[in-house]
Amino acid sequence: MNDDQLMTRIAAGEEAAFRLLVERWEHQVHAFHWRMTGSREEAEDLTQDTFLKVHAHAGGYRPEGRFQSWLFRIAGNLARSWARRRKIVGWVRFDLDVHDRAGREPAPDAVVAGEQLRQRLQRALAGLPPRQREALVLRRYHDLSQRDIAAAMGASEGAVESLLVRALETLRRELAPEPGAG
Amino acid sequence: MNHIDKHLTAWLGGGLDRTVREQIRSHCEVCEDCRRLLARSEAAWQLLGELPAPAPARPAWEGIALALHPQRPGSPAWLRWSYPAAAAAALVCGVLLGGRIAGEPDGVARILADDIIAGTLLSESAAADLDGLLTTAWNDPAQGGTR
Repeated sequence: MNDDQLMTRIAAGEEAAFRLLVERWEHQVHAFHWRMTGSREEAEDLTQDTFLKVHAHAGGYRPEGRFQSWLFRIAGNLARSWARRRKIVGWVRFDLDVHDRAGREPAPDAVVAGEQLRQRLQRALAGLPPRQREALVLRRYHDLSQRDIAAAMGASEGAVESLLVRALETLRRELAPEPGAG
Repeated sequence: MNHIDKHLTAWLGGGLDRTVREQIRSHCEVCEDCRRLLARSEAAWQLLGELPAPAPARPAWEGIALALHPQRPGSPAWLRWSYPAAAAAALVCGVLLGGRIAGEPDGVARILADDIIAGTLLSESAAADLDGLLTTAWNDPAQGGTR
Protein backbone atom coordinates (compact mmCIF):
# COMPACT_ATOMS: atom_id res chain seq x y z
CA MET A 1 0.00 0.00 0.00
CA ASN A 2 1.54 3.34 -1.00
CA ASP A 3 1.62 6.52 1.07
CA ASP A 4 -1.29 8.14 -0.75
CA GLN A 5 -3.49 5.11 -0.09
CA LEU A 6 -2.47 5.14 3.55
CA MET A 7 -3.32 8.83 3.80
CA THR A 8 -6.77 8.20 2.37
CA ARG A 9 -7.35 5.58 5.04
CA ILE A 10 -5.96 7.81 7.77
CA ALA A 11 -8.36 10.54 6.70
CA ALA A 12 -11.15 7.98 7.05
CA GLY A 13 -10.06 7.36 10.64
CA GLU A 14 -8.08 4.12 10.31
CA GLU A 15 -5.55 4.15 13.09
CA ALA A 16 -3.78 1.03 11.80
CA ALA A 17 -3.00 2.88 8.56
CA PHE A 18 -1.58 5.78 10.54
CA ARG A 19 0.62 3.46 12.56
CA LEU A 20 1.92 1.87 9.37
CA LEU A 21 2.76 5.29 7.95
CA VAL A 22 4.55 6.33 11.15
CA GLU A 23 6.61 3.16 11.18
CA ARG A 24 7.48 3.61 7.51
CA TRP A 25 8.76 7.19 7.88
CA GLU A 26 9.84 7.67 11.48
CA HIS A 27 13.54 7.03 10.90
CA GLN A 28 13.73 9.51 8.04
CA VAL A 29 11.79 12.16 9.92
CA HIS A 30 13.86 11.63 13.06
CA ALA A 31 17.11 11.86 11.10
CA PHE A 32 15.92 15.07 9.46
CA HIS A 33 15.07 16.65 12.80
CA TRP A 34 18.31 15.47 14.32
CA ARG A 35 20.26 17.12 11.52
CA MET A 36 18.23 20.29 11.93
CA THR A 37 18.39 20.51 15.73
CA GLY A 38 21.48 18.52 16.71
CA SER A 39 19.63 16.97 19.62
CA ARG A 40 18.21 13.49 19.93
CA GLU A 41 15.57 14.52 22.44
CA GLU A 42 14.40 17.47 20.38
CA ALA A 43 14.41 15.27 17.29
CA GLU A 44 12.15 12.74 19.03
CA ASP A 45 9.72 15.41 20.18
CA LEU A 46 9.64 17.06 16.75
CA THR A 47 9.19 13.69 15.06
CA GLN A 48 6.16 13.04 17.22
CA ASP A 49 4.80 16.53 16.52
CA THR A 50 5.33 16.02 12.79
CA PHE A 51 3.22 12.87 12.74
CA LEU A 52 0.53 14.37 14.92
CA LYS A 53 0.25 17.18 12.38
CA VAL A 54 0.12 14.63 9.57
CA HIS A 55 -2.77 12.98 11.39
CA ALA A 56 -4.54 16.26 12.09
CA HIS A 57 -4.27 17.42 8.48
CA ALA A 58 -4.84 14.09 6.76
CA GLY A 59 -8.24 15.27 5.56
CA GLY A 60 -6.64 18.13 3.64
CA TYR A 61 -4.00 16.01 1.92
CA ARG A 62 -4.36 15.68 -1.83
CA PRO A 63 -3.13 12.25 -2.96
CA GLU A 64 -1.03 13.29 -5.94
CA GLY A 65 2.02 11.17 -5.25
CA ARG A 66 3.94 13.95 -3.50
CA PHE A 67 3.66 12.65 0.02
CA GLN A 68 7.35 13.01 0.84
CA SER A 69 7.38 16.72 -0.04
CA TRP A 70 4.23 17.25 2.00
CA LEU A 71 5.68 15.37 4.97
CA PHE A 72 8.93 17.31 4.89
CA ARG A 73 7.10 20.58 4.52
CA ILE A 74 5.44 19.86 7.87
CA ALA A 75 8.73 18.68 9.36
CA GLY A 76 10.59 21.73 8.02
CA ASN A 77 8.00 24.16 9.38
CA LEU A 78 8.29 22.56 12.80
CA ALA A 79 12.09 22.61 12.72
CA ARG A 80 12.14 26.29 11.76
CA SER A 81 9.61 27.15 14.47
CA TRP A 82 11.77 25.30 16.95
CA ALA A 83 14.83 27.28 15.83
CA ARG A 84 12.94 30.56 16.19
CA ARG A 85 11.71 29.60 19.66
CA ARG A 86 15.21 28.75 20.74
CA LYS A 87 16.59 31.88 19.10
CA ILE A 88 19.50 29.90 17.80
CA VAL A 89 18.88 30.45 14.13
CA GLY A 90 22.03 29.45 12.34
CA TRP A 91 23.62 27.81 15.33
CA VAL A 92 23.15 24.24 16.44
CA ARG A 93 25.27 22.14 18.72
CA PHE A 94 25.39 18.54 17.61
CA ASP A 95 25.64 15.54 19.88
CA LEU A 96 28.94 14.64 18.29
CA ASP A 97 29.31 11.59 20.49
CA VAL A 98 27.09 9.68 18.08
CA HIS A 99 30.02 9.76 15.71
CA ASP A 100 32.43 8.33 18.22
CA ARG A 101 33.98 5.12 17.14
CA ALA A 102 32.52 2.10 18.88
CA GLY A 103 35.81 0.96 20.36
CA ARG A 104 38.35 3.04 22.19
CA GLU A 105 41.43 1.26 20.97
CA PRO A 106 44.19 3.44 19.51
CA ALA A 107 43.30 4.40 15.97
CA PRO A 108 45.63 4.75 13.01
CA ASP A 109 46.44 8.33 12.02
CA ALA A 110 44.38 8.10 8.87
CA VAL A 111 41.32 7.05 10.85
CA VAL A 112 41.81 9.91 13.31
CA ALA A 113 42.26 12.37 10.47
CA GLY A 114 39.12 11.08 8.79
CA GLU A 115 37.19 11.36 12.02
CA GLN A 116 38.41 14.90 12.57
CA LEU A 117 37.40 15.80 9.05
CA ARG A 118 33.91 14.40 9.60
CA GLN A 119 33.58 16.35 12.82
CA ARG A 120 34.66 19.55 11.08
CA LEU A 121 32.09 18.89 8.41
CA GLN A 122 29.43 18.17 11.02
CA ARG A 123 30.16 21.48 12.73
CA ALA A 124 30.09 23.28 9.39
CA LEU A 125 26.73 21.69 8.61
CA ALA A 126 25.43 22.73 12.01
CA GLY A 127 26.64 26.26 11.44
CA LEU A 128 24.79 26.73 8.16
CA PRO A 129 21.80 29.07 8.16
CA PRO A 130 18.68 26.94 8.70
CA ARG A 131 17.30 27.26 5.20
CA GLN A 132 20.62 26.32 3.61
CA ARG A 133 20.91 23.42 6.01
CA GLU A 134 17.37 22.29 5.33
CA ALA A 135 17.85 22.34 1.54
CA LEU A 136 21.13 20.47 1.82
CA VAL A 137 19.78 17.86 4.24
CA LEU A 138 16.74 17.20 2.05
CA ARG A 139 18.93 16.88 -1.05
CA ARG A 140 21.75 14.82 0.41
CA TYR A 141 20.04 12.59 2.93
CA HIS A 142 16.47 12.32 1.73
CA ASP A 143 17.13 12.32 -1.97
CA LEU A 144 14.48 14.90 -2.76
CA SER A 145 14.70 16.51 -6.18
CA GLN A 146 15.10 20.26 -6.32
CA ARG A 147 11.48 20.50 -7.39
CA ASP A 148 10.39 18.53 -4.33
CA ILE A 149 12.63 20.57 -2.05
CA ALA A 150 11.12 23.72 -3.49
CA ALA A 151 7.65 22.35 -2.74
CA ALA A 152 8.67 21.30 0.76
CA MET A 153 10.25 24.65 1.57
CA GLY A 154 7.69 26.82 -0.16
CA ALA A 155 10.42 28.32 -2.37
CA SER A 156 11.23 28.48 -6.06
CA GLU A 157 13.57 25.95 -7.62
CA GLY A 158 16.01 28.78 -8.34
CA ALA A 159 16.03 29.78 -4.68
CA VAL A 160 16.71 26.19 -3.67
CA GLU A 161 19.58 25.97 -6.14
CA SER A 162 21.04 29.15 -4.68
CA LEU A 163 20.71 27.79 -1.13
CA LEU A 164 22.46 24.59 -2.14
CA VAL A 165 25.30 26.38 -3.92
CA ARG A 166 25.94 28.61 -0.91
CA ALA A 167 25.78 25.68 1.49
CA LEU A 168 28.29 23.73 -0.59
CA GLU A 169 30.56 26.73 -0.77
CA THR A 170 30.68 26.89 3.02
CA LEU A 171 31.38 23.19 3.34
CA ARG A 172 34.12 23.35 0.72
CA ARG A 173 35.77 26.17 2.61
CA GLU A 174 35.62 24.11 5.78
CA LEU A 175 37.24 21.14 4.12
CA ALA A 176 39.94 23.11 2.33
CA PRO A 177 43.43 22.35 3.64
CA GLU A 178 44.43 24.75 6.38
CA PRO A 179 47.20 27.22 5.43
CA GLY A 180 50.55 25.67 6.10
CA ALA A 181 49.15 22.13 6.27
CA GLY A 182 50.80 19.45 4.13
CA MET B 1 35.28 32.67 -11.18
CA ASN B 2 33.91 29.22 -11.85
CA HIS B 3 31.80 28.07 -14.75
CA ILE B 4 30.02 25.04 -13.37
CA ASP B 5 28.17 26.34 -10.29
CA LYS B 6 24.75 26.10 -11.86
CA HIS B 7 25.24 22.41 -12.59
CA LEU B 8 27.06 21.52 -9.42
CA THR B 9 24.28 20.08 -7.26
CA ALA B 10 22.78 18.26 -10.20
CA TRP B 11 26.21 16.80 -10.93
CA LEU B 12 26.64 15.67 -7.35
CA GLY B 13 23.15 14.21 -7.17
CA GLY B 14 23.64 12.33 -10.42
CA GLY B 15 20.79 14.19 -12.05
CA LEU B 16 22.56 15.51 -15.15
CA ASP B 17 22.17 13.97 -18.55
CA ARG B 18 25.19 12.45 -20.21
CA THR B 19 25.78 15.32 -22.64
CA VAL B 20 26.04 17.97 -19.94
CA ARG B 21 28.23 15.69 -17.82
CA GLU B 22 30.61 15.27 -20.71
CA GLN B 23 30.71 19.03 -21.26
CA ILE B 24 31.60 19.59 -17.60
CA ARG B 25 34.22 16.87 -17.69
CA SER B 26 35.81 18.39 -20.80
CA HIS B 27 35.70 21.86 -19.29
CA CYS B 28 37.39 20.69 -16.08
CA GLU B 29 40.24 19.23 -18.08
CA VAL B 30 41.22 22.71 -19.19
CA CYS B 31 40.03 24.85 -16.25
CA GLU B 32 41.95 24.34 -13.04
CA ASP B 33 39.56 26.42 -10.89
CA CYS B 34 36.59 24.35 -11.91
CA ARG B 35 38.52 21.12 -11.56
CA ARG B 36 39.42 22.05 -7.97
CA LEU B 37 35.88 23.21 -7.25
CA LEU B 38 34.44 19.95 -8.50
CA ALA B 39 36.93 17.82 -6.58
CA ARG B 40 36.27 19.63 -3.31
CA SER B 41 32.53 19.54 -3.83
CA GLU B 42 32.64 15.83 -4.50
CA ALA B 43 34.74 15.28 -1.38
CA ALA B 44 32.30 17.26 0.76
CA TRP B 45 29.33 15.46 -0.77
CA GLN B 46 30.93 12.09 -0.13
CA LEU B 47 31.80 12.95 3.47
CA LEU B 48 28.32 14.28 4.13
CA GLY B 49 27.01 10.88 3.17
CA GLU B 50 29.21 9.30 5.80
CA LEU B 51 27.77 11.33 8.68
CA PRO B 52 25.43 8.98 10.50
CA ALA B 53 22.26 10.03 12.26
CA PRO B 54 21.30 8.28 15.49
CA ALA B 55 18.24 6.04 15.47
CA PRO B 56 15.32 7.08 17.66
CA ALA B 57 15.70 5.78 21.22
CA ARG B 58 12.11 4.51 21.22
CA PRO B 59 9.48 3.87 18.57
CA ALA B 60 7.66 7.08 17.71
CA TRP B 61 4.32 5.30 17.83
CA GLU B 62 4.47 4.96 21.64
CA GLY B 63 4.30 8.70 22.18
CA ILE B 64 1.92 9.25 19.29
CA ALA B 65 -0.59 6.68 20.56
CA LEU B 66 -0.43 8.31 23.97
CA ALA B 67 -1.07 11.74 22.47
CA LEU B 68 -3.98 10.40 20.42
CA HIS B 69 -5.55 8.61 23.39
CA PRO B 70 -4.54 10.52 26.52
CA GLN B 71 -7.24 8.78 28.56
CA ARG B 72 -5.54 5.44 27.99
CA PRO B 73 -2.10 5.64 29.55
CA GLY B 74 0.45 3.07 28.47
CA SER B 75 0.05 0.65 25.68
CA PRO B 76 -1.75 -1.38 24.76
CA ALA B 77 -4.40 -0.24 27.19
CA TRP B 78 -7.03 -2.76 26.16
CA LEU B 79 -4.75 -5.56 27.23
CA ARG B 80 -4.51 -4.30 30.79
CA TRP B 81 -8.28 -4.38 31.16
CA SER B 82 -8.98 -7.54 29.26
CA TYR B 83 -8.05 -9.98 32.03
CA PRO B 84 -10.16 -8.54 34.85
CA ALA B 85 -13.00 -7.92 32.42
CA ALA B 86 -12.86 -11.50 31.16
CA ALA B 87 -12.65 -12.80 34.74
CA ALA B 88 -15.64 -10.72 35.75
CA ALA B 89 -17.65 -11.88 32.75
CA ALA B 90 -16.83 -15.51 33.49
CA LEU B 91 -17.81 -14.96 37.08
CA VAL B 92 -21.20 -13.52 36.16
CA CYS B 93 -21.86 -16.52 33.95
CA GLY B 94 -20.73 -18.86 36.72
CA VAL B 95 -22.91 -17.21 39.37
CA LEU B 96 -25.98 -17.13 37.19
CA LEU B 97 -25.49 -20.64 35.88
CA GLY B 98 -24.75 -21.89 39.42
CA GLY B 99 -27.97 -20.27 40.61
CA ARG B 100 -29.91 -22.10 37.94
CA ILE B 101 -28.40 -25.46 38.78
CA ALA B 102 -28.49 -25.19 42.58
CA GLY B 103 -31.58 -23.08 43.01
CA GLU B 104 -31.55 -19.30 43.62
CA PRO B 105 -28.09 -17.87 44.32
CA ASP B 106 -27.56 -16.63 47.83
CA GLY B 107 -27.82 -12.93 48.65
CA VAL B 108 -24.09 -12.15 48.45
CA ALA B 109 -23.69 -13.84 45.11
CA ARG B 110 -26.70 -12.04 43.67
CA ILE B 111 -25.48 -8.63 44.86
CA LEU B 112 -22.02 -9.30 43.48
CA ALA B 113 -23.40 -10.46 40.17
CA ASP B 114 -25.54 -7.33 39.96
CA ASP B 115 -22.50 -5.19 40.77
CA ILE B 116 -20.42 -6.86 38.09
CA ILE B 117 -23.13 -6.38 35.51
CA ALA B 118 -23.43 -2.73 36.56
CA GLY B 119 -19.71 -2.33 35.92
CA THR B 120 -18.82 -1.36 39.47
CA LEU B 121 -16.42 -4.25 39.93
CA LEU B 122 -13.93 -4.15 37.13
CA SER B 123 -10.57 -3.60 38.77
CA GLU B 124 -8.17 -6.44 39.29
CA SER B 125 -8.24 -6.05 43.08
CA ALA B 126 -12.02 -6.02 43.08
CA ALA B 127 -12.07 -9.12 40.94
CA ALA B 128 -9.74 -10.82 43.41
CA ASP B 129 -11.95 -9.80 46.35
CA LEU B 130 -14.97 -11.06 44.51
CA ASP B 131 -13.32 -14.34 43.82
CA GLY B 132 -12.52 -14.79 47.52
CA LEU B 133 -16.02 -13.89 48.66
CA LEU B 134 -17.69 -16.21 46.21
CA THR B 135 -15.41 -19.08 47.11
CA THR B 136 -16.36 -18.62 50.75
CA ALA B 137 -20.05 -18.31 49.95
CA TRP B 138 -19.89 -21.32 47.68
CA ASN B 139 -18.15 -23.51 50.28
CA ASP B 140 -19.92 -22.33 53.45
CA PRO B 141 -23.44 -23.74 53.86
CA ALA B 142 -24.10 -21.14 56.55
CA GLN B 143 -23.91 -18.47 53.87
CA GLY B 144 -26.13 -20.40 51.54
CA GLY B 145 -23.32 -22.31 49.84
CA THR B 146 -24.03 -25.66 48.32
CA ARG B 147 -21.10 -27.63 49.69
